[in-house]
Amino acid sequence: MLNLYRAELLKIVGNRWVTGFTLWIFPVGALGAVLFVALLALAVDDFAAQFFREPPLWTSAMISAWNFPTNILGQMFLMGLTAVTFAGEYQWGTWKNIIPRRRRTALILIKFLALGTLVLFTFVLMSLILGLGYGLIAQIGGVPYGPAITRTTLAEFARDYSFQAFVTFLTVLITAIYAAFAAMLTRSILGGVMVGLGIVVVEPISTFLLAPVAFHFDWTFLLTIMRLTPTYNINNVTSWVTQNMPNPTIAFYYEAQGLPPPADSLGFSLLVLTGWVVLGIGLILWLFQRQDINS
Amino acid sequence: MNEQPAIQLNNLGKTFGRRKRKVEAVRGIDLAVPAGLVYGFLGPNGAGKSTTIRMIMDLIRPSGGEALVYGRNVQKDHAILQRVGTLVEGAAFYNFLSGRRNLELLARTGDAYDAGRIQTLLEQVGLADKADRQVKGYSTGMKQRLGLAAALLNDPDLVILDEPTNGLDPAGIQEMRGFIRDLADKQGKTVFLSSHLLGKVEQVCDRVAIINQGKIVSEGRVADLLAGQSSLLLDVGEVDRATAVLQSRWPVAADGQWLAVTANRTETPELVQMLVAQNVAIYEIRHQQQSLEQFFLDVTGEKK
Repeated sequence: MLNLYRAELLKIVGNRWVTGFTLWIFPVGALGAVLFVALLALAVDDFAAQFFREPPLWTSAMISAWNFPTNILGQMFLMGLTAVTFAGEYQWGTWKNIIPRRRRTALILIKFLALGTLVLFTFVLMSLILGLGYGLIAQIGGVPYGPAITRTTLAEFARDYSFQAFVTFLTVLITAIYAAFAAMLTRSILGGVMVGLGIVVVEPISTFLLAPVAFHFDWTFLLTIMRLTPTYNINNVTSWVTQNMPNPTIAFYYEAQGLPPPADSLGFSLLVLTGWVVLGIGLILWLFQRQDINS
Repeated sequence: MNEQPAIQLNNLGKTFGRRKRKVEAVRGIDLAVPAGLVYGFLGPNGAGKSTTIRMIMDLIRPSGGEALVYGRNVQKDHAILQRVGTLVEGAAFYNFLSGRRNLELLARTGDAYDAGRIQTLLEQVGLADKADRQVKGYSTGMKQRLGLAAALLNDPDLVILDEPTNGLDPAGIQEMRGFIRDLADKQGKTVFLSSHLLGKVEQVCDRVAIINQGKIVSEGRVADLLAGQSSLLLDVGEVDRATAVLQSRWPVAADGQWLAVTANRTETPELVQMLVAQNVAIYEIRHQQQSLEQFFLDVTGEKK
């Protein structure tokens, strides 16, 4: 299995233009941002005064790296990478070389594993660049770069960092599943990105459209459906991780209907999201098992 | 040596599409490929060769029947394909990687990575000096050679080559033929070779099957298929008279001053006697063994 994993990494990383524009762009962008801030601090006195008066905290600088893949632009980049990883094999006609060498299930699962580890590596690297880069600027400016490193600070940082990384990873995984499914279905890189993007945009919108529809027709079961969607549960996990409380949006909807608000636990949302991941990957495997490889 | 057929196809069929768009690409074919031979799978473009090969390689699901490799159903026992090396319908690679990297990742995918073997294969196919260049700079012929190396990565018992001479120049074709023969003769491998260029595979195959419109129309040893399939070309003074004399005994076709008579070489004296008896002047007689290509055209009903 290790050989298969290395083969997949070789393929993804060897496609330098694609990984450059969809993955390495994040740490390189972070490096660029740090250099830009440093240059501004050197060239513009007002900026330097303001920056050194309130320098960023290393904890928030490092955690901020994990916010990039969750916005729509970040998701587009990662969908592009996923689409190339899955649909590229059709477009290049390379499935016919590798399918006889391994079971289809292993070929698909290893792609997710390789993509997952690359995404983790990329954003850990980006965190380090942001954390160390701003620290260097603060050092040059002769200002403290807090918070002070104590056992408590480190413990809190480790918890917050891993939670944020976990939430981001879940979001990225769900996005990757959309893009992979679309890529496998359309057998096209562009199709994978476009259809995947469509799902990424439509899914949260439709989730939140369920509430007005539920109000209008008095269909409270729609609120139950809403509680099972990926978007709601990612928001719920985020809410638990950052505020230690359930997502307040759903409570508002239920109260507006005169119903007792549910308090979906972190465990509930993780279970639902795990279900979506298993269902999504299962659907891709089912589809791939049935596909004829003609190219 | 090898008791089981390398490939056995039992009523194997494939239909694409539904209703009005239904296309029967392969129509329930039965075939047994003995181990240790170079076996030609011949047919015109669109005859169903590649679809059959793709079913053998578990790339396409059969609509009916089964494909067995060394007695094991490839759909139920995918691992049997570890004993097979394949080059399917034109070599396709990751163009952004070098030839060597492509072979490395294919070997790793099959859990058979051996840098030494990759180097040996690159040397065998004549790509050692270009192995570290990106594949996007390779010619079609170079890609075919790399495809051949890829097919041999796992030292397979059965090598399936789909149109391996595509894109090769005449010297390359000659070299490929020698290489294929060596695989069977020196390395004891079974080679299943598909091609629509019959003249180019005739010399290399021990046995052939001819497929047309999804059906096997002929199968056997090349020598057996062509036995008795010879003709005599006669340069005669009076073509019309000669035709009248011979046509009751043999099929005859006039072509300008030449008369083509479908007859064996051993029948030449009898033929000459008949013409001489009727005072037909004979200037030249040539014996012509029918080629596999002509045989193929005959059995498929196609015209040259």
